[in-house]
Amino acid sequence: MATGGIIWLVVYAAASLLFFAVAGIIAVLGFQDLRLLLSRSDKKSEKER
Amino acid sequence: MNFYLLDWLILFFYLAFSVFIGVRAKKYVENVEGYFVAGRKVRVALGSATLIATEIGIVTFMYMGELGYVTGFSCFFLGIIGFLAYMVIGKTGFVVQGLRRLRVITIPEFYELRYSRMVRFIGGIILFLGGVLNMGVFLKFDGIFLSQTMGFADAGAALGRVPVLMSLAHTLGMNEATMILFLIMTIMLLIVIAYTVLGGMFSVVITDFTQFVVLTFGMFVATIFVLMRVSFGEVAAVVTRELGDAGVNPFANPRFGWVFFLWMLIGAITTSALWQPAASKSLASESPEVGRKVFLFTGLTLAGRYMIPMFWGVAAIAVFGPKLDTMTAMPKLLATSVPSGFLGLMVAGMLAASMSTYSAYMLAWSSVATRDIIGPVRRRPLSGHGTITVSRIISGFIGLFLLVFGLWYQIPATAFQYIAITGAMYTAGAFGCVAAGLYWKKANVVGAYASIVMGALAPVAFLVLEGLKRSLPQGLLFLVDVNVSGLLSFFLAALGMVVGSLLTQKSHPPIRLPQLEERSK
Repeated sequence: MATGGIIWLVVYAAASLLFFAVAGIIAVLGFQDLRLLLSRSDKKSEKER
Repeated sequence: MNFYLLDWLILFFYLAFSVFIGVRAKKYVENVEGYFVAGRKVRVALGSATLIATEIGIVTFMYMGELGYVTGFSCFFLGIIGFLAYMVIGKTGFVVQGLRRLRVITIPEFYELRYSRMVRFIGGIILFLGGVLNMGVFLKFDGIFLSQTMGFADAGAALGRVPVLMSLAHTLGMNEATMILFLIMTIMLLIVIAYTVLGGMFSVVITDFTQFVVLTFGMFVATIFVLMRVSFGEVAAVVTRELGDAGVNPFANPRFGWVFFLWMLIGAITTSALWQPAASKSLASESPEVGRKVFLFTGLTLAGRYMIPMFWGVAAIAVFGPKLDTMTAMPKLLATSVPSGFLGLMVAGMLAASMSTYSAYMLAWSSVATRDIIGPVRRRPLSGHGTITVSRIISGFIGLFLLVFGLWYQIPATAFQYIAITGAMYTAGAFGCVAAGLYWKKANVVGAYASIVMGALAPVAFLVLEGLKRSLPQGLLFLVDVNVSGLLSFFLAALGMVVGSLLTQKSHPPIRLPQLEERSK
């Protein structure tokens, strides 16, 4: 296997793992953010009523 | 047909779920800020999820996959460039923090604050036209992807059971496969229009988040099945055999080279921060600091989001050889590698990716049309309610345009570079205006006009002259080199801003913004 190919495959593997790992973290924390955003907006619209 | 009942059920429930949560978000819209920027309450993780979902669509998978199939590993450097660009923005807050601090909703709004109402109007028109035309090709890519992955070999038999559709297909002059595609695309667009129009940015954020989760899962599923079909060793061997040095070294690849590298590096920093659909995600954030961090987190995923579909394309060379149609090779690989059930999940993920892109783009371009094109020409400003209503109507028209334009438009041969050059038409000038407006005290209205016009010159020349390539004199041939044209647009825009401003400082003194002055103290 050529060296250039091996280097790119290592970079690809690292980038893909980073993508899925960060996406997982964002999914968990994002869900909490989403709940907070909606509860804040719910409270605000109740107050205005 | 590769798609079976289970796949259709998954797809149906996913689309129904999207409509349900998107439409429910309508109750959160109270005013203009609520509609266009979700009340500026979005935090880092949610902002990152929605930005990633916006930037990934079937169209990006398609052109990344095509690049992988045509250039092998050498296109992976684009992922590294994208990663670096987002890291620069995420670390420094370049442009995004300044715009968020000024509490603008659209980028042309900044033009009025810093230059003049007319600059906002012209900038708004160029941004709207560039954006909508750029988006016009998306549906076509979606169509190719879906027809390959879902497979429409038995489309005639399926359609034959519905005589009304059969006669509609004949009336419109479509074959059965195109008719089924047309129906899927129409349903998808109607769903996107419905929730975008009703809930604005709230709907976009909520649906983007669920779409982010589904599309990530879809990408994971596709990657696992591709890796089960071809090994790293096979892929590396076939790239070396078929493409040689051009398959691993971007500077040895005739499609890339140093000019392309520089264009992409500059373009990545500018486009990322100034493309309205992306910028609106940082403008919707809770604070300027959160806006910056949204880019930092998104940047961490960027190399992967480029390289994952590129690798699918490279793997397609190992499976099918290099002689397939470049656009269909990658989706064909997915269709033949992912089994039924998982295929439904993957297609739902890909549709999720497209829906999040369409909704964000529709909202972004309709907000520009309403606030920066219609708003400035009206004697009496639109009320909050009027602004939202006009924006909703424009969103509907954009959807209609996409459907008509997308189905009949012929995709140019080099999709990635074509999208980049139409994007440069706007971003080069916008970069000159916004970056100089935020960081250079001498930037004035003349410089802004010069930057917008000169930034659009090279891309327009390319698009016009490309068809006349053969009759051009030798000395002008550089204008039809897409890479030279793209890079040139940024230099010309910067030159226009610097020369235009410096020559007219006395006749057109620059406007100072108190918020920016405060920041620099």
